[in-house]
Amino acid sequence: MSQTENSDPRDREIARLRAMLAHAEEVHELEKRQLARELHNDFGSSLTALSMRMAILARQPADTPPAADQWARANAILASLTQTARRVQGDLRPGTLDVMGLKLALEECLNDFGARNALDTSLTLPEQELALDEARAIALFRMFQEMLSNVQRHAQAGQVRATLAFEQDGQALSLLVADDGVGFDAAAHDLASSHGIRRLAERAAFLGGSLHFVSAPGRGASVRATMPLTPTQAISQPTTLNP
Amino acid sequence: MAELLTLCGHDVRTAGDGRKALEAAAQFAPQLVLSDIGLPGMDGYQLAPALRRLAGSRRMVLAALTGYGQPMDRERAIEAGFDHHLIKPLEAEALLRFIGAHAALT
Repeated sequence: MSQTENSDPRDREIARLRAMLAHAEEVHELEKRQLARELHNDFGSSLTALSMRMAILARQPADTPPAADQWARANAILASLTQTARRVQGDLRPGTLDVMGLKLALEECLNDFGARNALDTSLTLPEQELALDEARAIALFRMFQEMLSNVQRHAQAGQVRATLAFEQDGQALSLLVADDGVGFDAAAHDLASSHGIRRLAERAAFLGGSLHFVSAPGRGASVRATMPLTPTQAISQPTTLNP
Repeated sequence: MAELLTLCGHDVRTAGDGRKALEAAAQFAPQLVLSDIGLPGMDGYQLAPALRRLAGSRRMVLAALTGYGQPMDRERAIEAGFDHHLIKPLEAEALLRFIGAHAALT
């Protein structure tokens, strides 16, 4: 019996996973490029400027007014470098997640995002403790960062509202980020062509969950990721790969 | 950087973009130009040949000062007309040694 390509569910699943893997590699490269750009733009220039300031200081008498001005400028560069280093470290590995847990990490991330982009932000969290394994907590945090990054890149928003909530009688968890920005025609957009959205969708799918967008031009946008809380449900999709 | 070089006795002009750099070079006839690659408008790769054309047969050292540090970035800078490719972060003392060495040659 002949079979058309991908007619077998197992073939389709393999094709889907291959596409996902290829995309993950592409994203990995993009992230490395972004990090290199950040190192170039911020660290390279600031460290060069700092070195110049210190060299000027070394050539001036320490107790003169120009020296005080140079110290102030050098300190300002150092403060900016420290801030950048913290941001890059946070992007690579959210330290607050290890120390304070997901809820406080989300709060700190949103506060920082609001301050950097001059946006009003609000965060609603469940009162109950979250008993999440590390992989799931990191994935949720990364999704949150990606959602905020989308707002920053596209929304031109003034306000961002985020909610983490239990659903389905506590069997699932949902993460919502909504903005009051320019919005877009969700039906007319090829959402799969966006790296950010594909990354979100793949993370959600990997956790056995789903992603849902609501938007209209001029009416803001919201994205909600919902995922089951139990690992057995989360890995149900990949297990269909087994021969 | 300009402050440090001035403090060390060099006569320095600065420009915020490629077009202003060309204007400054036309008036100032620099012995040595330090230029970033990622400039607004005309980038460093476009600026280098324009500076060469402006200088004509006059000797002028062109150095790219950039964070683009891959071998292919260096090749591209040299192809564009730069004599040197310095990579950020650059230490002040290394910059002064570099300028000292090339100022003596021009």
